[in-house]
Amino acid sequence: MTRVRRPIASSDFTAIPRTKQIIETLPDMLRICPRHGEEVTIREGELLPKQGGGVPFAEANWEGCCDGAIDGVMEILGLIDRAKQTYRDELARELEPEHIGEMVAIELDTGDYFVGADEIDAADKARAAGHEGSLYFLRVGSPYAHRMVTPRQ
Amino acid sequence: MQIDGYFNAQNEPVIRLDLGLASTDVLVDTGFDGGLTLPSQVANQLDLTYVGLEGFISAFEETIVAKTYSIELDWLGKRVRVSVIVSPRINQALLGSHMLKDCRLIIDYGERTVTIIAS
Repeated sequence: MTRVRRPIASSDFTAIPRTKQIIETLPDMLRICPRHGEEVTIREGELLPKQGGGVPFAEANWEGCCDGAIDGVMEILGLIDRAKQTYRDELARELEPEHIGEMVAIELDTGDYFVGADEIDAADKARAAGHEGSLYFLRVGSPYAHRMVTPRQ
Repeated sequence: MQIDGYFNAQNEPVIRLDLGLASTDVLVDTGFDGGLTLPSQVANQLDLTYVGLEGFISAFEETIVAKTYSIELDWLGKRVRVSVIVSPRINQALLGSHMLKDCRLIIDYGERTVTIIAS
């Protein structure tokens, strides 16, 4: 099967390691094309011999089995980034410090949010208010929902 | 009402948890602030309800995006709904501190006993 490649702008190269890490951890339903069963990746070109202060490689591309698969991954990453940004730019001011430690469910499509004691409580509030869209959870006062302290493989 | 556990071969506190369609041993991990995490092969056997996505930080500082589900189970004499994180990056069942919020956890390394009591 022919692979689809989509160039990444050199100005976005610095974000590639983090983006690749997040892609690798995405649930299979988001990372793997539902039509062709292949995963979407980012592939960097050969390392440049004289990097100087510039970019480390000449090119980098999104790669996948079809445009739809690449679009799907890019969309979900964009929505997650937007949810985090919505929290940082708007919700942190509204929710901190009163709701520190509680869970906020942000509807990815609309940016609407619901606060609860945990994911289930926040999701119940979203559904009760008629929101059917995908939810992304963050803990109020934190850039993530949970933290695992004990190292486990 | 109480749950009695045991120590596994790695000297970690473990309890057996009835998850409805399957039972599994879960590590009691107070370093995890959520409800439950389950490996995919265990989660696939269960009647889980999809709730949403969330990011969490592993002990290796890796940001992981995972699916969160809910499950109903009996916990210390009550029927409760609990959040369950499932990711290919998780290969161990963990019971986090959110499950322990109304409990007393007694880990007696001397007597080799693990007890969770409703408080």
